[in-house]
Amino acid sequence: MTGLWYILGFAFAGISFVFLTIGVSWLLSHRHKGDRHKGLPYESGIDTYGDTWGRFGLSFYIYALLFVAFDIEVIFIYLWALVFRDVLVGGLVSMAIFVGILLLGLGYAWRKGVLTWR
Amino acid sequence: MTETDLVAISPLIFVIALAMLIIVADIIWPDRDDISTGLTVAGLLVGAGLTVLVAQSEAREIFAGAYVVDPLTSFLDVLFLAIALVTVLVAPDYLRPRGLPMAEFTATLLFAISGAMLISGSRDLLVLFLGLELLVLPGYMLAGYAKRDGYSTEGAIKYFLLGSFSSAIFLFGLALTWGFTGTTRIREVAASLAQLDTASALAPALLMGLALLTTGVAFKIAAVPFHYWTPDAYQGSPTPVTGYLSVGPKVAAFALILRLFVEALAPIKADWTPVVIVLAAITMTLGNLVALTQDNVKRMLAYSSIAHTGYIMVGLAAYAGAPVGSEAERAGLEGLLFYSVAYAFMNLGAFAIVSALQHRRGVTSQIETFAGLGRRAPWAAILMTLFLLSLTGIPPTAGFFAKAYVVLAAVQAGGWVSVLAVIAVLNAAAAAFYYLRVVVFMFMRDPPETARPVLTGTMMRAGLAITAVMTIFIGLVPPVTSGVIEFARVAAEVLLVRTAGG
Amino acid sequence: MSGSLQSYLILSALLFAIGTFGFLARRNAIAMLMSIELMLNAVNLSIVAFGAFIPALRGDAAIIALMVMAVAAAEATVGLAIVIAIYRNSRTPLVDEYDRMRQ
Repeated sequence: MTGLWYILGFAFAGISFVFLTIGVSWLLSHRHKGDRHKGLPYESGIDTYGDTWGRFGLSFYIYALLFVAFDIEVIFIYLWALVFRDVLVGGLVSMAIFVGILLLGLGYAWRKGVLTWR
Repeated sequence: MTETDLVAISPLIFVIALAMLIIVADIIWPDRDDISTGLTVAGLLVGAGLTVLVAQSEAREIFAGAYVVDPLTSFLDVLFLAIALVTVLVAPDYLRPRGLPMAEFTATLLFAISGAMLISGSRDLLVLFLGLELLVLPGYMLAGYAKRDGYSTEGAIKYFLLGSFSSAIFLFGLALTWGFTGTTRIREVAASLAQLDTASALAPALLMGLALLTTGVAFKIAAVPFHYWTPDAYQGSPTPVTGYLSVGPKVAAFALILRLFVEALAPIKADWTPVVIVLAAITMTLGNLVALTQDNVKRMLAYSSIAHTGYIMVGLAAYAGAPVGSEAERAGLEGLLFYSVAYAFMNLGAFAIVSALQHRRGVTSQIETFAGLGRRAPWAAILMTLFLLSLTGIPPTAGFFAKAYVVLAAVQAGGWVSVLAVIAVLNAAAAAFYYLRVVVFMFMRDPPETARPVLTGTMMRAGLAITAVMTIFIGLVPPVTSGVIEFARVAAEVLLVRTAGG
Repeated sequence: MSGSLQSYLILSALLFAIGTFGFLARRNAIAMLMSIELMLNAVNLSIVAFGAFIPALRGDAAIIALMVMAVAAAEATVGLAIVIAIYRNSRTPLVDEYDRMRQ
């Protein structure tokens, strides 16, 4: 029988805890009727506008693509950093070539006007 | 990494450096098509010379056995460089009137070729995968090169989606093979598989890996039933790109098969042979049947390229179906390599003619464009006839010898493979209908009223000359024929010695 | 059962199958791209699992997994670029509406 009491006690405690916290917060909180910001998902910062399904300009995606392409190359630098002690000068030269190739790609994108906001 | 390693892969490094040089040149002098084209043509010739030079020395494994420079590598590298050269020669005539820049085109093409060259000598599963991706990613970009053209982007998205889908499947197969054998080195994979008890069934994981690898590769070579992407990707792409796509990635995918299936998976040959035989049969047959009904020459050539995949697979099947250590094994691989060379030149040639006709914007690749070409532009018509006859397999063109080699190898192999030989011959006869239909249009129809003269630039003529000369010489001039065969034999023997020696 | 190599392989095979299904069932190009990414990540899971359970494969597994990630990113970049190009031309990401060549 004690098992049942445990369950009942636990259920009571659980349910009353919910009402207790809501009640306490109701008692303690300030209530600003008519403050629009209280109802927004993000209370601070600039006001949101548009609905959730708003679309981004296609130009954003070009930047996102460039970011993804260059960002992921960092994992090679990470591996390189792990073994840097063993490779030293040769490693430095290889990494310089690698980064140089990446920069060439970025420079090419720049030259082709990909980075110009349209 | 030592100096000898770098010397051995110098052709590969050279091609990548060339691509970057073109980018640098385009940054300094933007939109100078002549500079980028000239650099590429000169560079590819130097690269081919470098490959031949490197091939003179002993075959050797470099980068701790991850890459090998042997006659097969050299054979394929020279072929890839030739494919790139013809593509670059043919492209300006098509791209310039449409306002598409040459610099990006050549740089992207060279990156793709460097991927193909990485595959050709790869002896490591991971290097194989990287080479494959380096090959196909620029390919997607080239397919969508005319980005304002709806057809081009539509072909590109289909090519991309199916291509990366198959890459993922292939990668899963590689991962399982690697996990099962515990090594990425192809030689060790083969050694590990050779220890398996051949009588017992394969472990489920390995069997699944094998199935996934086969599916992935079948997508890449566009074997039926994994060919859906081919017609749209080929028809939509700018015509010079289509020419490249129909040979470059296909030959590279066969290089991958040679390195992966023939080298690494040879010990479990019995498990994949039936699949190759069935795929070869349905690929030839379906490719040809559908090609019969096409009115668009590019689309027709797309289906014909599927059929040719089937013929090349007959060579593979002859290798796979032949008893281990027999003469037919070598004959099969030799036929595969010889066919690849012949196919590369005749198919590039056919697409080059289509590009030449489409020099003016708005000219479609419908078969009506070819009406009366025999009167309007006799040279173009004669060359097209040559390429089509070679594709059909009529002597004494390169295509005839290529087909003869594969079919003979299949007969030699015996068993079910000899049935394939019969199917191949029947298919070649059926294919004559749709190839010759274009010839009929060129010589027996009147040109449309609106037809305007065909314009060809010097570069286009050079490209056509190379493909035509190769198509005739490989078939007609015995020294050239035997030279290519000799080279193919040496390359094929390399593979067989390896697989026999474990 | 939990914590064995086999269970991880089965999980990765399931993820791979889900990705395959997504690729075949969805008709939005972006969703298909996401499915392919899921397939690649399933493969990566199996690679990492091999590395975690078989000591001899640990070093290989780390390198291969990172390489696959880099390749996946490159693939996604090219794919999205093509999707942007096609969206500019045809104003829809739905692949079954790309049927100009099937008339």
